[in-house]
Amino acid sequence: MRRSIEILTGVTALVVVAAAALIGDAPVWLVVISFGAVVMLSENFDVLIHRAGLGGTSLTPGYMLTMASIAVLGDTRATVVSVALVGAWEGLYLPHVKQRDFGIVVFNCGQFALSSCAAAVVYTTFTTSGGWSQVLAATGAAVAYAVVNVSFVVPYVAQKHGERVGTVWADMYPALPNYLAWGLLGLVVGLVCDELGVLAIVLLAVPMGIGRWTFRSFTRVKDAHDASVQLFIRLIEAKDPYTAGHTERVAKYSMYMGEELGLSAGRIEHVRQSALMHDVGKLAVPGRLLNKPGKLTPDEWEVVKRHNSAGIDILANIDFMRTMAVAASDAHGRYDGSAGTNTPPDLVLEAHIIAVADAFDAMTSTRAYRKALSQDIAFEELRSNAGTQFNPRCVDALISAIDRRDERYGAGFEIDVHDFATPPPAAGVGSAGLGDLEAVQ
Amino acid sequence: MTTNRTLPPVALAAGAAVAGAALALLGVFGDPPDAGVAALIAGGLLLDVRVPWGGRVPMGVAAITATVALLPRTDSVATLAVALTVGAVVVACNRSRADTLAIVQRCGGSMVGALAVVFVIERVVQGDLPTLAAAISAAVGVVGGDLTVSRFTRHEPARVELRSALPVHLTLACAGILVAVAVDGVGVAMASVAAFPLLITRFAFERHAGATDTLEQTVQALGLVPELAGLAPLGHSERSAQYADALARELGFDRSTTMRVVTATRLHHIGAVPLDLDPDHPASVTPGEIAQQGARILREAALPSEIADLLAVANADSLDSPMPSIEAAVVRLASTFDDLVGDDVDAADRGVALVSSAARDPHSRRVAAALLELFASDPALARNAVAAGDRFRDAAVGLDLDLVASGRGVGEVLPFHRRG
Repeated sequence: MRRSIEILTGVTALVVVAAAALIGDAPVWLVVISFGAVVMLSENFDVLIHRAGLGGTSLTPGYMLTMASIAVLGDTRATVVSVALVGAWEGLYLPHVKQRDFGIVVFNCGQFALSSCAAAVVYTTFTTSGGWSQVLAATGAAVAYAVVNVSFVVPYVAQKHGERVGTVWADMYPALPNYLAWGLLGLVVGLVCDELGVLAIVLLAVPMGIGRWTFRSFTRVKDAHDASVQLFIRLIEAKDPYTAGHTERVAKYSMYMGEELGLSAGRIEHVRQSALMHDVGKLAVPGRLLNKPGKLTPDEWEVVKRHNSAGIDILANIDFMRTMAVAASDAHGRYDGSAGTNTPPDLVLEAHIIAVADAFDAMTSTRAYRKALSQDIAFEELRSNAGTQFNPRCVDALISAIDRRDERYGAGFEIDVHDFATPPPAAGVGSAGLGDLEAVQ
Repeated sequence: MTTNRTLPPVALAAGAAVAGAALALLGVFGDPPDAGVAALIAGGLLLDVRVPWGGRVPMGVAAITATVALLPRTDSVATLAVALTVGAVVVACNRSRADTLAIVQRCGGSMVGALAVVFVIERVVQGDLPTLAAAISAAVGVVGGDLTVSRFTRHEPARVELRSALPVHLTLACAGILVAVAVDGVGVAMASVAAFPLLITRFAFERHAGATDTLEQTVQALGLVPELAGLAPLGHSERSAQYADALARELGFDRSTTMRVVTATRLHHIGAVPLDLDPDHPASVTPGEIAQQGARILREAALPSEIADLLAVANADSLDSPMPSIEAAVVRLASTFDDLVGDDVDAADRGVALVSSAARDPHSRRVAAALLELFASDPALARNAVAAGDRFRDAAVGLDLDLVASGRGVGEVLPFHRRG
């Protein structure tokens, strides 16, 4: 399938370029080679946009130069074919050539040629000499480039990495304004390059270079932040080692539910972060109570709840933690206990999602007080408590997501298994709730 | 230009634009300056770009560059004066006196710088400069004027660091030059298009600054972890970080070094968390071992290695151990000072004296001298740091700290004071 897309794109581009050459004039080879070479050089210093689960999509500086070439050539019969050939150079990414992945080289050369061709056609068709109509033509050119480029790249990347088209699109569309901004900048610089001379390259290169530097720095800061969150998780797990892996699993199940419920990418990320932090209150809970085998006395249970709550309240003083504290707090954990609170509905839903994920993982993992239940029993427990303890939408979403992925959890399918000094007892239906931890005096 | 805004920046900018246009249309000035340009500049002055590690630069400096390059000199002086007046009035009606002063200083400095450089060069060449040359000269003047004001002002909202602000200034300078040349070459309509990428750039810088804020807050929360676990007094990491930040500024550290030092200070007890829970470790744990543990877990969590390295060397086993760098000395002395003083503001002088007497190596002595200087110039430093730490103690009302501790005696080694 991937190979078919590559060949089809390459052939289409060849046909379109040949047609443009036949209809118009021969390409202006000086522009094609000089601009094309600079485009190719700049492509090999692109900024890789890192996204979880994707190999990467890139925003490339060669695009600006391609748009500039449209303005340099102006409204002539050779513009469309020349610009298409300039754009094709964007596909010559050296690492792909070194890896002998010629299929992707053909695909990129083809789709960039077609995108550039579309931009040139729109601009030369609608441009006039100056005024707002020229602005509209320039805008139309940038939009045309974006539409063709996205139409080819999104399905190809989805096919290549086994992702859904919607997921790839969700990652790409925040970058769409860049097409407009940098495309228009490239066109304006092209229009005044006679007045600017060599400075034209500086005025293009400096903002792009700074943009690239800012993005790399942003990526480093984001990586440091992710590392800090990971450190938080490690410290929580250091406090309660028998739940190692629990935080990540709760985050995974929460993301499953977020996708099933149709939440935006930003919301799903917030749910994920909140899920990673949901046990943060444990840090203030005495270790001897947290890991006590068997049931807690009512007094001990009160200490656990009080310290958990205080730990969350302390951390909620920090802006970043404040919205996540909602999910960590017991106040919103129960579905039938959340009505009438002043908390925004979005955050209440997050708390419900995490409560279901937390409960599911608790049931399908062996703990100090009970062996893991089977997935079927865990699902039965969730369904029987939907509407009271658990949000029924969240319950349905989790079960659908796991069934759709054909995954199995629980007894016989545990990933992180611990050896307890006192082997925990086996249990069945009805043993899932934390209320069971309180000893009956 | 502060984070406390009562109206969104875009609303302020729009208001300034309308006010500027109205003034010009009413013919308030004898020979009205270009109303559109004045309004544009006024609006631009109120929209600023966050510099990645602190401070802001007004976007209107790009318009200042273009204005000085395009308009006749007397017209540009009048137009800039109108723009600055309108911008200052709008800010004064909506924000504090400090913000108004900041905008007048920063933007006034940019305007004066741009006009001065162009004026001088035109006197030297004895004639008017072409648009491109005038735009480049004006851009140089804008950057120089803004950074000069920032360097010498004592006014915090107006301050921005050269190294951090340069990328923003360069981007705005390029936009201003391009707009000036484009207006001449292809008209106002297409030239305005060249300003559109500035909005994308602003978004990129804002996003970076937002990510930096979130990282700082996450580190702040991480610093609380040992305190929640009862291994350090609640508020200790926050107070120590306040002292480290003040010392870094006093010693003239740049923003990224300051961030590194403050982060290491916040996390200097983090190594105690896993040590406390490990039954194979003896009850007596030295500060050096805690520091090494902390550095290890930071490296394993893939935090920047320079922070882990700083943490590893900054916490030696005794107060008079030599520090290998001035950054390490800051981390060590800031945390030690709070160990000695805690939330007892009246003990600050005694704490400074103790820290100074224990400082043996050149780096520690230099930091101790800076600490002395700080308390001499800012007597409220300890009070402010204690107040910063107190917000966490206020939230810990339900927390029985003695119960939280594992009882392994870690507090007997380090100079902690248990508070219930």
